[in-house]
Amino acid sequence: MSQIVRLKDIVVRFYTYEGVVKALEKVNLFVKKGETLGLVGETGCGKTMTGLSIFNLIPSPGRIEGGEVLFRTKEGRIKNLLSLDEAGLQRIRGAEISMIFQEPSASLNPVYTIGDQVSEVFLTHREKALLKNTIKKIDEELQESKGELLKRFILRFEKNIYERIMRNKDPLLIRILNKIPLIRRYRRRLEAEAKKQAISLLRDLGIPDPERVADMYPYELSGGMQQRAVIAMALACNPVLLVADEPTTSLDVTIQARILELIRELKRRFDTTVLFITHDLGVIAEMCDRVAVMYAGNVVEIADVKEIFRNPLHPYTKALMESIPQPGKEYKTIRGVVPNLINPPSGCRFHPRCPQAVEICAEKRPELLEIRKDHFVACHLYDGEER
Amino acid sequence: MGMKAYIVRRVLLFIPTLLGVTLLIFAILQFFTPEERASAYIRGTPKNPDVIYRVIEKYHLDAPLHIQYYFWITRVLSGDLGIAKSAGNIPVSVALLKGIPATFELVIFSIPSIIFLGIYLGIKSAVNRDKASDHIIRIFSIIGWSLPTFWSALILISIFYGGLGWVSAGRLSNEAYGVVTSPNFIRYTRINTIDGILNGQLWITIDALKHIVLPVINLTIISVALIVRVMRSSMLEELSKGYILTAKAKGLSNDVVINKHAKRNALIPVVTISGVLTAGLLTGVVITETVFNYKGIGYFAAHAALQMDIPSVLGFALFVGLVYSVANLIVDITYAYIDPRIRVE
Ligand SMILES: Nc1ncnc2c1ncn2[C@@H]1O[C@H](COP(=O)(O)OP(=O)(O)O)[C@@H](O)[C@H]1O
Ligand code: SF4
Ligand SMILES: [Mg+2]
Repeated sequence: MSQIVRLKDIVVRFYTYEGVVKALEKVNLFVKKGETLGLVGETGCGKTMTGLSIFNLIPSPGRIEGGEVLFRTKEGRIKNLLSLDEAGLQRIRGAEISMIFQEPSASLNPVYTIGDQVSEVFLTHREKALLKNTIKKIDEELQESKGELLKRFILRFEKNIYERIMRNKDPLLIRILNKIPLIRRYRRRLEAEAKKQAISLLRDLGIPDPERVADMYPYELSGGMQQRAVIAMALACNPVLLVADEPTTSLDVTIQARILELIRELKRRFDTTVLFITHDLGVIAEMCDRVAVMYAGNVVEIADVKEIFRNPLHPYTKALMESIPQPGKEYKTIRGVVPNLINPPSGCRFHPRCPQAVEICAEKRPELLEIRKDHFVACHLYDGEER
Repeated sequence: MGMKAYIVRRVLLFIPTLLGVTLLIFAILQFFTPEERASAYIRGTPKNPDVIYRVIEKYHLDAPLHIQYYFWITRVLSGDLGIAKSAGNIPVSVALLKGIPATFELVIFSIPSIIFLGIYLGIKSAVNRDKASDHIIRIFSIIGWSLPTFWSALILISIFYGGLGWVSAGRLSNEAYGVVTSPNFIRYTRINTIDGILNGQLWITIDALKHIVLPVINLTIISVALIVRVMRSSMLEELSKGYILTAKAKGLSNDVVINKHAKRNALIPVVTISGVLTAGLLTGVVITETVFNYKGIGYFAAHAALQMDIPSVLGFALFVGLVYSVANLIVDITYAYIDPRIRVE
């Protein structure tokens, strides 16, 4: 199976007044085509930043300070997204990789309608196809409107503009036209076309009465419906990779199940690869093929779901498994506290809390190594260093 | 869409607001004795005290309050605000009407320059946070903000009128004034820039524009900082929100992210403070017109106040109340236009 994306030694730091937050310290992982990779770990361990680094969208005062994100595009070319220019990134974001976030109400712009926000994705990434459809429609109207001089004049004018955009002629002129109130109206046809597609997408995602919903503002929808709209925006252009960052954490339990089911179904239907971020091991078991476990800015273990649950190797993963509340079993919390990432522990960042720590753990950082086939662990217990 | 219903509701609210404004001014009037109030309706100083008593009786100035208010508001609505002693004993309403076009001309040039410049600089400042352009914009807007209005006006006058000798103060040069007041120049609107065009005398328009530039700059200097500051901080806040990250993750260009997504949300607080801005602008107008010898309504009010011309000052107050209420009406409607959440409730 080929890899869709591979993160190599990603380093992310935040430059705050309190000091430099070493949020990600050489994160390594890859996602295979067609799979769902779960990314699990406690709050603050760097799951969201790992997801955002794929988009090269770390918010300030954060910066990506090292590493590569190797992404296989739809055309089959491999690109390092961290060395791509802004225009190149914009062509990939939203079209080939998409992200959905934890809080649907915060992900939607409160002052634009749902239809507008979904259409935007089509207008950005599918302009050519929209233009083609629009020009065809204008031609039909020109056929029908023999004799209506003014109407024909306007139609001709609009067609001319559309054809110019299509041929990507004088983009500056187009940009200026777009700022002039009355002339800007020519875009209405394009927008109407995009909105039609948006409505049909909303219908596909199980939103009842999509025509009405398209004209609604985010505050008029429930959390579950908002998240469906966000998923619609993410899947509009049929991306190869979907990063889902705790998409159900802020929703009611019953709605959670429905959204998870929706993501599973869409994944099947669109053949999308998913990076599924969560802190909930139950959701991991339900959704994922493989799991990557993160601790304090490092990926500490990667393996198949079954393997991770049956045979966790890293002491942190073991502790995490034992902390799942289960009937009839003792519930153990992990001793100690989550480290401060301004002054993280030396060597293995887990060593102050690790029950199996040995001397070298405080000195040397363990590398993520393939201990068994498809089972990666970053721990000195397995790399021969403890002897 | 609830926009229409919202506008209707908001316009209906305008009526009690206006009633409140008139009641307030009527209340101020009660500080004066009937005799003093009567003298407001008499040209010059009456030789015979009977004249005053006749006015009191005719205008019901000693009647119970509600009756007094009824007669007073009827007179106000028919345009009788008393006599402006500080403006050569013409009716206050006439004096106001003479000044309004000049002030309107001043304000109509100032408001767009304040709003567009303020929003533009605020966005620029926020987008380039902590870079050189941000610092420069912030320093200049703080200076503009802290300069007293008359001070900035005097600096502008001494540089451009005194030092560089561009034009003199006033609304027009003497030559243009002569033409404008001559019988074959028709003052359609009393707004010189427009009347110049309507009379086919473009040089009058240019002359008027030259005279209006500095007062407009002065009003802009003192008001733009408020918009810049509010726009900058609200823009910074919006840019850190989740929907901006979503917009970027959708592949939108920076231009769209900033000028579509963040800007519209960031404008909400700016619209809210625009009401305050109107108040500031009105005071600014009084001082600016006085210093620039620009004969608008602010100039009229300042001179009336200096000469204790009560009817004129109250007439001006009524005008200010009206302008303020209309400004707030516009603010509220714009607010609802930008933010759909306001329209419901
Ligand atoms: N804006 C920020 N300023 C400073 N540090 C931040 C900021 N955002 C994230 N971090 C740091 O990055 C770490 C990882 O954050 P995040 O990826 O959001 O964690 P998760 O998604 O696993 O809860 C946090 O522990 C925090 O220290
Ligand atoms: S490297 Fe050492 S401290 Fe870290 S998890 Fe392994 S045993 Fe524990
Ligand atoms: Mg997170």
